[in-house]
Amino acid sequence: MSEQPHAEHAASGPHVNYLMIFGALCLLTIMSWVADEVGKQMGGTAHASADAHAPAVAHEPAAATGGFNWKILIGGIVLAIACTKATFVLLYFMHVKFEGKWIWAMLLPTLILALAIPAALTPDVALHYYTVETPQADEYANQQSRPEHHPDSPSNTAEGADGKVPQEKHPVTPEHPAKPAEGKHP
Amino acid sequence: MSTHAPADTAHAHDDHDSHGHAAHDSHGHGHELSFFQKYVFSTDHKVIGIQFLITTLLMLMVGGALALGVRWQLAYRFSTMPIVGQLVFANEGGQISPEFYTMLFTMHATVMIFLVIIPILAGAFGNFLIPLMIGADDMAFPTLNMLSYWFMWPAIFFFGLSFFVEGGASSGGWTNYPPLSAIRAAAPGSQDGQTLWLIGVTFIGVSSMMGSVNYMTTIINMRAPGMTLFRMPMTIWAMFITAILQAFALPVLTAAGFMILADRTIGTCFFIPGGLTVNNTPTTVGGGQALLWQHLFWFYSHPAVYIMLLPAMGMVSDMLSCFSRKPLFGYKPMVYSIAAIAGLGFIVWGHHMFISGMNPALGMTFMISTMMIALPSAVKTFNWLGTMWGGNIQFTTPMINSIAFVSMFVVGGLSGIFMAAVPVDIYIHDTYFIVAHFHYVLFGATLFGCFGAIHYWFPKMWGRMMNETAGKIHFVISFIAFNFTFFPMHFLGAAGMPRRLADPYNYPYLEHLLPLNQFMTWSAIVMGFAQFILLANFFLSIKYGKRVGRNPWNANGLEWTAPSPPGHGNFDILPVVYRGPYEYATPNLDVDYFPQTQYVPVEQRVNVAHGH
Amino acid sequence: MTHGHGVSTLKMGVPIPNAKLGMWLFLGTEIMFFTAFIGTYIVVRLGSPGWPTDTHVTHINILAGAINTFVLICSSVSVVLAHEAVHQGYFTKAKNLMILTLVLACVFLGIKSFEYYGKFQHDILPGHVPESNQQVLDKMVRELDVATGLTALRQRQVSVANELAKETNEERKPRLKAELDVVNTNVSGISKKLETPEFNDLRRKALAGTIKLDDAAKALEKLQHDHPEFKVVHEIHKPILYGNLFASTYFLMTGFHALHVIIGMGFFTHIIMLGNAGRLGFEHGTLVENYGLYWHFVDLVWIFLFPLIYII
Repeated sequence: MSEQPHAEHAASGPHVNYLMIFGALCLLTIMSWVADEVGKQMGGTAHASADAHAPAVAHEPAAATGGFNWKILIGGIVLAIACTKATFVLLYFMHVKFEGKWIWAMLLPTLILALAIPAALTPDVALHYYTVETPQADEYANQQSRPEHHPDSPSNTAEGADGKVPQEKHPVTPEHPAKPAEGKHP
Repeated sequence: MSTHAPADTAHAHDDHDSHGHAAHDSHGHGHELSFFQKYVFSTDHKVIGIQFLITTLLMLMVGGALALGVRWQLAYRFSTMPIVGQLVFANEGGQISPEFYTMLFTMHATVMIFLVIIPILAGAFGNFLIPLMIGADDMAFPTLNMLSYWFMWPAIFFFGLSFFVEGGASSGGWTNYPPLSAIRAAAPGSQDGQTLWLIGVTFIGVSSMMGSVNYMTTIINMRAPGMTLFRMPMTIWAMFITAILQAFALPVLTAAGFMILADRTIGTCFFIPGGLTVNNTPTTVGGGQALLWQHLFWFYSHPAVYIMLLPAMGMVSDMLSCFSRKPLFGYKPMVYSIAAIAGLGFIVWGHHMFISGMNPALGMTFMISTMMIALPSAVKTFNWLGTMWGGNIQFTTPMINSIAFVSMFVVGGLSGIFMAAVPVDIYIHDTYFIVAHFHYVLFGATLFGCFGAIHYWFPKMWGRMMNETAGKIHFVISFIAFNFTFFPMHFLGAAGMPRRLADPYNYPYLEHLLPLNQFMTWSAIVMGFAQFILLANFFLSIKYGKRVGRNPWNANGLEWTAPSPPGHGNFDILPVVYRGPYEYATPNLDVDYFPQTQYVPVEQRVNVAHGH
Repeated sequence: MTHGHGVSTLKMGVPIPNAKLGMWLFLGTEIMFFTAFIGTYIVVRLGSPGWPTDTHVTHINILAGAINTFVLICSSVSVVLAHEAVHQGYFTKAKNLMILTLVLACVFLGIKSFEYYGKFQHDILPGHVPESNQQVLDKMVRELDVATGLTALRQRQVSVANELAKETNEERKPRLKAELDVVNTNVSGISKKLETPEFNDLRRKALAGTIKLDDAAKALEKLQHDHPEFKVVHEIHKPILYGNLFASTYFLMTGFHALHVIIGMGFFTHIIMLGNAGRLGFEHGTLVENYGLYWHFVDLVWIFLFPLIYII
């Protein structure tokens, strides 16, 4: 029991070189940062938007870089690094390596369930077997494809000032084909 | 228990701090507890269990009253309710408005599920029975246990409060589907009442989470010497697996609840699709998915269906074996089938969503996994029948309730298979067929199991018996009225009557169902009032019941070796377990039961085994 | 059966104290809790036709995320060393390591709040992000109206009118009517005050959607220069497709993580207080270990949040 520190000390047995684990974790963090930088250089589109007219969304860089999707590669690498780091923390900091089998009986089902949720949600939420209705994306596409013109239509000034939130009054076919401002984002 | 506990009680109050259970039995001795410590903010698992039991019985009456409101409307639409009508809906001329009708069924389900069925099983019986049946002095974390009870009250408060805020209580159904629940303008009940509902459910979630961590720790780590896993009574197995289900499914609902709460309050858009206009409100921005909620919700709520059933299965197994005076037929298959039901229970949630526009590939997967649940369920049913077969059956109140459990479970289970099949479900989804199904399982099975369990363990709680005659009268009335109320719902469903309609007879094809609905309503009223017999029997027996000793049923479990009612620390003699709990009618014993703690010296064991 | 420390030999079960088993089980529930958020983020992101990843748009600072990762790793080390120190009987060292952990947690929250500040500054908040050109302009008009006080007055107008319509007591009606008149006068008063050509022009064109975003931005800048009361209107930026969903997931995931950090800080404070009172002893080994386990879990969550939010 707790009044026997010596027995306890012996029981807490495993002497982990925490500093080494710490070094490994730092190294892995740097690696994921480097991977990100490499991705920026190679993919070119992950963060640095080459085209100022481009929408503020990621577009698939596959076409630009000859069919090779750097984004997915980098994503895979950084996630693998994250998993490695998590394993280090679990095994050494949380002492899972030195616990009995019971810990695996508890952890493994949890991990399986945790992976099962996104996996089961994927067919429904992530992949769409139907056409997704995304008004804002449609509108954006419209704005991009249509030539610029300025209809000087009279406006209804009362609208929008009625205290309600006047969002998306022209959901699909906008009368306002202004292009996104260049370099205007903060 | 371990009486060599160290004297460091300084941190015994801190749950994170308890180095072993040992620290806990040092309180309670040596100083008198005040009334509040003893009966209100008690950390004794027995008191907490009884607190849960009484609270849930009261909530049962509240939920039943809400259900009677629903039934009244279905039988006598928009006519003044007798007595209550003028009190509650005076400004509508005593009528139930369609909006209020939706609130009634939503809150009926909410109260029954979150405040009755789940807490009566896990909270009341789990708390009372787990330490007693495994031979522990208390739960692993008594303070956490107390908190898990008191976290129920904010939920009760918020649910109650929601009726009095503008727009009234939540009216989106207990499933709380967005956009009805996510957009304030969607319905009157989608205003503050819905927010309060979500807060209440979050409290219930925290309460259940604390309870389940406590149960798992207690069952894993605090069993008496000799109580190996496969000597545990089925009740404990069921409670253990229920706790696992709860611990790993519930956090998902809690998280989803926070998401929908954020959607409602701080403008996130997890579940609100973009470009949606509801009741002339501004168009929504964003791009979430309403279907996501259904997935996350049912990821919890389908396992919750088993949370609402498995403990009753366990308790019924114990009662059936005891009153058949026979060992439980197929103990290990029973354990494995409970585990299988729980495991499958995690991967069948999509069968609630067949007509939601879900990916057909998922529909097929979920249909198959759902069908597979029939296998372990059938194993259990046949084992119960096998337990009773050829037994020396004693028709006590707990026994007849348990038999009702088995038979009603069969009816509810069989109708479940209809809905598991996608093509059939497309027709009967959201009709009264499903209402019949889940009432057969939740009321017919679980509640009858609970009625049995109340009568069975009552002597352990109070040292007195409940009145057998009153118990049987209560059973007969409830059972007949229950079947008269819910069996016709199968026909309503087959006739295509949708659930959740305040006035189904608006549609000519449903007009002819009115007389049947009136009959069901009167049955429901009889059933509702029959529960007063139970309440009266329960509360009067506490005071006037026949006094009994430790083991009135001649049962084997560890709990029957403790005094009735057990004092603080439960056991006066340290229990040591030598065998499983179902050794009834062992040949060549003087009595037909063989308690788990009874030691047989080696030379006699031979005699027992070979029949000399 | 068992012979671990703090475990009675008179019990069945695993050879660890109840409290530690309970903590591990609790962490299991926590895994599921964060799974719901992270899983939602993953599927929602995969399911969205676009996602803002440009750091200039999202104001995500990879360096800040990496430093925070480093800070949490450091704190994990200090907390595990504190646990070891308690076991070896170096209670002052353990207390000091706990103080270090607490400081590191504060640093983490500091960097986090710096990031949050950037988001608030640029209004990258759930429900505030315009996703089309018209929404950008509408948002500007909305904020202009709030700045002029028009919005508040209009709301008052509607509520007084509603009250008047509902009022059945004839005696109270004149008072409400008078109030409505006052509000109406104020509304037209404000409208008149604002009838400067450039404001009206900008507002009208924005509502009609007949102005380019950069023109609107220039006009707004000029307006803000001339009338400082319009400084509250947010700078115009490009529409951000799925910016709201991004902000929703970002804030809920990091927010709940930050909440866990704050709870952990409470745990550390507890140990530090025990240490200060001179009561920290061998019997607190399990307690320190449990707090450590919790803290490592918080670190683990961040280890996954960092690549998921900041890099991918």
